[in-house]
Amino acid sequence: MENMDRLRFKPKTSHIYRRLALLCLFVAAGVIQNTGLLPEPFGIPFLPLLPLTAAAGMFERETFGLNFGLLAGVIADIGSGTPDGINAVFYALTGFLCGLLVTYVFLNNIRSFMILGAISTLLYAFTAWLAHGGAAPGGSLTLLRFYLPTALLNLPTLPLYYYLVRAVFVRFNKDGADDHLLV
Amino acid sequence: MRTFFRSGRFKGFLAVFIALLLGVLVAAAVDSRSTPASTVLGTVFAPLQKAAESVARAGSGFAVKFRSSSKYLERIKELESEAEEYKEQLIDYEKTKQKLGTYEEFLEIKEENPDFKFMPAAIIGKDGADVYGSFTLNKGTLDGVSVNNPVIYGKNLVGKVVKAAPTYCVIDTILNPATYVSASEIRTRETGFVSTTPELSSVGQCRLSGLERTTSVSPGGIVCTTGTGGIFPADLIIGKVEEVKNDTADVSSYAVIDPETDFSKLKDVFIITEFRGMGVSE
Repeated sequence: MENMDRLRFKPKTSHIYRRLALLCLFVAAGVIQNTGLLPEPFGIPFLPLLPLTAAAGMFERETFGLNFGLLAGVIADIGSGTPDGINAVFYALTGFLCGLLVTYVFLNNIRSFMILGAISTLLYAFTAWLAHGGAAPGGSLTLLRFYLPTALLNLPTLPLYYYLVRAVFVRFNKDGADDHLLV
Repeated sequence: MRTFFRSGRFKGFLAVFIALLLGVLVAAAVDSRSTPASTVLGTVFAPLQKAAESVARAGSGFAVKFRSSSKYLERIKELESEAEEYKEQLIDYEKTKQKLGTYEEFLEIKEENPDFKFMPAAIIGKDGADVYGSFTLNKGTLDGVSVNNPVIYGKNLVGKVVKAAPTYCVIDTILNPATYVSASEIRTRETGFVSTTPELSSVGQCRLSGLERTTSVSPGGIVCTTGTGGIFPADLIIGKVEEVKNDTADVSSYAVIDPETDFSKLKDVFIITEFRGMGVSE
């Protein structure tokens, strides 16, 4: 019976609206990340795109996690001096893996998100460090002075992104058709 | 009469009179022209006087306010809006002054180098994940911008275009270790190349490497581009020499350079899209 519920016809419009709302959220986050609209305490910027990707992956699961990750990565690549595609690949992988892990291993809750979000944020710090010439002589300095502090100072903001995506998800799931994705 | 002079009333009067007389004499002797008694009393009553005066003033002010509060409020509003207007004008003036200064420098460069083609551009974004502060400009390939075009602010070199899309481009500044510029110190004409290290970049400095150990480059010298390599035109200012050090890796010396421009505060820059010798590496 439960499987039947899962297979039943889902109203497509709510899916479209939900994904459009998420799209708007990603664009807004992209503007914040690429323009430095928000104040930067201690010179540490907010990087909202990655945790949003992880959260979207957890709620939308692997396929749309990958799609949203790709979108977020392309947005991040626009303002980046690194060769195009580095962010797109990393973000897409993040969205995909978060979706996959929540489908098969984790539960979809804030604790799981904190673990996945923290891991992806720290991994991204290392990737960005390498992409910006971290392996060059003296590069470890930038890892310790900028990339790790950026990752660590972004960690406390993680729950915000989870609850934002969850709020969008719940708002466009009033009929309960996608309740199974909430667990 | 005798009884009067012997009476207590007369003695009292005499005591008061003598006291007053003494007071007058003391007052005459003291510069302040006030008796100790009046001073004491004055000291005691001064705070009370002040309090009374302030109450009176407040009362009179209140009365005036009460009488014509609407008029005053109107006037205050008028003055506030006027002040706001002046403030805006002042901000506009400061901005225009700053822009004018920059444009004057550009004009000077343009006059000195008629072969230069400029493109004004505004900074519209920055890469939060880049420790070296690369930023995005609002001009792209549709405006004639291409990769490796130099970017300047006034006479100062800012960096070069590393990515060019149709409507925007991304700039790496000279504070990025990946940027190399052929440069020389103008007084001694000693040449080398300007680059930076993560350490120097973190304090907003770069270095002129490849100088001889016996270099005569000294603090205060101006470092400019040489034009070699075909990416940057000659004679753009990179910065001022802060100190000269011996390189530990080889037998050369290097000069630590302090760029004149604060890259974190830039809003508008110019992209040089064309100059004589562009793309020609010597």
